[in-house]
Amino acid sequence: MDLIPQAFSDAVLLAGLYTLMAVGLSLGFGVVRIINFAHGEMIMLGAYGAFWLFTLFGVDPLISLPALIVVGYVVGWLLFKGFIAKVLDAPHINQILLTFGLGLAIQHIAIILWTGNARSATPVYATSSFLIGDVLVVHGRLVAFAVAVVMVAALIAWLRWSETGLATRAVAENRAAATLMGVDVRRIYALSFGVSCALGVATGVVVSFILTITPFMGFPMLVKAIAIVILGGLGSIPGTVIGALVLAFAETFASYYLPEGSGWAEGIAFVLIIGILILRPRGILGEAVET
Amino acid sequence: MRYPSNLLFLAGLAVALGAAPASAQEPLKIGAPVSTSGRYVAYGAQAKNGIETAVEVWKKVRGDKVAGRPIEVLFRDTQSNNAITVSLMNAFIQTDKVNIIIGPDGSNVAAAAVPPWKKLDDRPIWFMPGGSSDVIEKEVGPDPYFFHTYAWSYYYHENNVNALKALGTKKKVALLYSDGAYGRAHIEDARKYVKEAGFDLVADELVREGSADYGPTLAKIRVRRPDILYVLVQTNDAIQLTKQIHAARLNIPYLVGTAQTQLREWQEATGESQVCWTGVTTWVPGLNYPADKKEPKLFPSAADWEKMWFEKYKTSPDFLEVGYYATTILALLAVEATQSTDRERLKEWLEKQDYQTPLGDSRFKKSRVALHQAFGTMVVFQRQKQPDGSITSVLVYPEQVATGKLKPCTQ
Amino acid sequence: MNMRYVSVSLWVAGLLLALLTPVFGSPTMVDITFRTCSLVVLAVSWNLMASAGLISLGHSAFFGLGGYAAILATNSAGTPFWLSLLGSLVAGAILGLGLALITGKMRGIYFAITTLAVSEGLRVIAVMLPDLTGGAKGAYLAPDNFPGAFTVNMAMGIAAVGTCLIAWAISRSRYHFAFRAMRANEGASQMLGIYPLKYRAAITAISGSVASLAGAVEVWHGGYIDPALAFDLHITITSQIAPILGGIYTLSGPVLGAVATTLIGDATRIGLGHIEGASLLVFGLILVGCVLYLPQGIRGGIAQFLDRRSKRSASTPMPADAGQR
Repeated sequence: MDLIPQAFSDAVLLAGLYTLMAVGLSLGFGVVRIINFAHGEMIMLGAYGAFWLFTLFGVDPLISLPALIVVGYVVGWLLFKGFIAKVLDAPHINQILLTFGLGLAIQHIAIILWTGNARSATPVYATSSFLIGDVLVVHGRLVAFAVAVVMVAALIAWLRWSETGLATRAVAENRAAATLMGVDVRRIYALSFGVSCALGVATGVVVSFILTITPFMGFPMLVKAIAIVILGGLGSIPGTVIGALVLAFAETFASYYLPEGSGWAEGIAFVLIIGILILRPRGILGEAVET
Repeated sequence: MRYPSNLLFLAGLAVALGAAPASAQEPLKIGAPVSTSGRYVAYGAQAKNGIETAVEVWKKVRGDKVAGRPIEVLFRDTQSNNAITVSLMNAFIQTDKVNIIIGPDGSNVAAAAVPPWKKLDDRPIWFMPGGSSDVIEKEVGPDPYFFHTYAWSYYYHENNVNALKALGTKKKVALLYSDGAYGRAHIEDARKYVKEAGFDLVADELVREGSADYGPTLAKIRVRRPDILYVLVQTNDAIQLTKQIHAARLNIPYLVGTAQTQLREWQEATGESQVCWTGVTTWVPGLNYPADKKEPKLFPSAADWEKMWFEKYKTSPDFLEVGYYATTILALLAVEATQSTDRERLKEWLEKQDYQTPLGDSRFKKSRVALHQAFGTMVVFQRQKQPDGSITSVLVYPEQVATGKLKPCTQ
Repeated sequence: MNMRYVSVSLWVAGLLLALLTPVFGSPTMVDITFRTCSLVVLAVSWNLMASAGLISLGHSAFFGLGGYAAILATNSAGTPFWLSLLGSLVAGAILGLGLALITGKMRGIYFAITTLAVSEGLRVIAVMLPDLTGGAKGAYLAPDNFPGAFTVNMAMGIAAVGTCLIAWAISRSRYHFAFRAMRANEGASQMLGIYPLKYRAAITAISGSVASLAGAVEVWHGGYIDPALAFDLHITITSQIAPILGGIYTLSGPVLGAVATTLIGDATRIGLGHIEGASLLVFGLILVGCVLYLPQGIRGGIAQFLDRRSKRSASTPMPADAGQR
């Protein structure tokens, strides 16, 4: 049996998931210039939110998605006002440590609230599938892919056509010029940090029925998201999509065609990152972002 | 300058009042390294529940003391971290001077605890109710003061494969293991027993711990058309993998798991996907072990013990919980019976004792390398769907305890 | 009183404490000192790189490499204790040099991510080559003769003192100015006639070798290693937390921070160990609080406090104030 169509389909679906994982982080970095080390914890909170709504009240994760996105936005906005706003001009390392500390605290609040037990939501489509020819497609992963496409499209549309979106892009490109044009930079920061966290929560909702939910699930996803964002170029949303595709294809094809490939796959990702950073220090589609 | 002298007087009084009774009933100190934060936190919580319940039951049955001494359990958080575990073991032995150590839980921290314990000459009796990796056994060696109260990894596969032998030998087996500590600790013995049983090993696939997609590995296994899929991954990976295997419609008649199948975490998180999976464990709800004849209140029948647990925690117990319970009671009984904390006397008593616990026979036997191994009796069970729609564990091996037959999956 | 005199005597006292505790201390003291010294080495090492504008998010790469180098040398070739430490120093220096070469002119966040990638990459290698490293199951140290706990504790003390002396020597040399210029602007420093790659290679090699040494001594102390914990993010994080907490880019900051981090960590672990999740929750909150309210670290906080006091007593000798003294 020829495995190439199956590998191709697996890789594309995985790329959707990876894009969703990384796009919020990419937006946060592009606008606020902060790598949010608590982004993984936003994913974790989204996953728990969807899980509990599903388990306690039988609400399907896809139905709770819009409400949880709003909650994620509010949480992000509050985090910004309460903490991030105070370190905007501090050195990178302080920002990294602050968000890392927040992440650590959120992780352990989750342990206190919900214990460290592993969980997963079980809607029917999570474990059902269909065949196109020889290619098996799992409904749950297709759903995740669709959500990712919708979210990324909505984000791009918002950035392109809405007034606040345009202001956000202006801030991302040149903070000083945007200020001169009368844009309230702080408000845009709060807004985009909120949107970034909302995207994290959306990712969580989607993975709640695909992956295993634990209080620690966020950090490995953050590392992966950072890898993708770096591959594509910091702050570039099309770049993030490309980064996700590169990583997903590399991992999937390595898993199919190398001996013990799925074990080495993660290593391949890091070799790719180092390689790309050496060849193109600002990523595949990197813009001239001064750090 | 009157304050200091007053204070001194008060302090002296306190010492005088406190000193006499304190020396007469110096507490029995049990050092309990538990992972109450970090990645093993789920295990740590179970370990703590088990020890706490044991001490509670002891106090209810035998009063507040053991051998005339109050019981003091020192719970210390390993933070799921090697270096901290080393410090904890040193502190337990050198500073706290604990009489007995019970724990730690996760495989890696259990492994890290061995060298610091071993290198101290005045090391106390050590019970290990978690950690099944054979590297631990090799490193501990035939140490007289080490008591392993949990199955070694190879027990899993000996029992699993024995249960599978009933299906005949011409079966094709696919092994799937993770690159994590769990997979690596188990794969060699799994291979060994599968081959010895005469099965045909058609796939031997490694997956990454924490991977977001097991699809590629499953696609590779599908083309080999195995009769038995034998999975060696840790709980978190098992949850995602079980769902993905269900979705992948592999049409493999027998899905064989190890420890995770018994965990309520796995059962609750996998829903319908868990049907037909087998597991191998030392303890599963519904075991028909009777109560002990000498200590029926400390070691009630497995069913009564399970009921007691359910009333307290509102959930059924997991194997670490029952393991820590039985181990702690055994430790207290040893101190009570010998009226001492001397490790030689405790060791001699422990080597001779024989109770019927909710976790089975408490006798210590030799294992491959280690001198003392108990509670290693394993059962194989299958998650089967009942006519009322519920999914329960049906014991399929060994025959003496079996409550049903191993059934192929019909997908 | 002369501040300089006070600070020199504090330094001498601290360094003596590191060296004398293994001789005279109680087991608890010895243990705390060992862990503090280990963190001092990592924190000073991290701070050395940071001082040259190189933010490392992968210090566990050096730590883990040192640990594996020591255990491999000892188990496969019977290398004795001190020689295995030397081996780890060399291994760490080579990794540091390699890092400087592959990162070339990468700066800021790109350098940081590369270090993270190197650390994760080494972890994957350690996991995937079980025949060499023991894999995820881990490996035990099996030396021909164990030098004794005292020697190992002493080695960590010496490592901490040595690392501090290296940092001191650098801060007194002209390298110091080069690093400061590089931190501010690598491009501009090049125009000043400083050749950044040379300095960068020197600093990553020194920093890497001492961090690697800490990993090696830890292996001799604990006797066990596995990839998840050798390349643990926790090591990377604590080696940053300590300098930030104490005072980044300074000589005494990382040391103060290492002491504070160890003590806070122990206090929360022992005080809150019986509540699931509580100890690391408090640790996270303390970290957030420090970044927000002590941006110059403990050292900055003390300096500010002393500054305010001396100003107050010098300029406004208020009677009430004077009466209190």
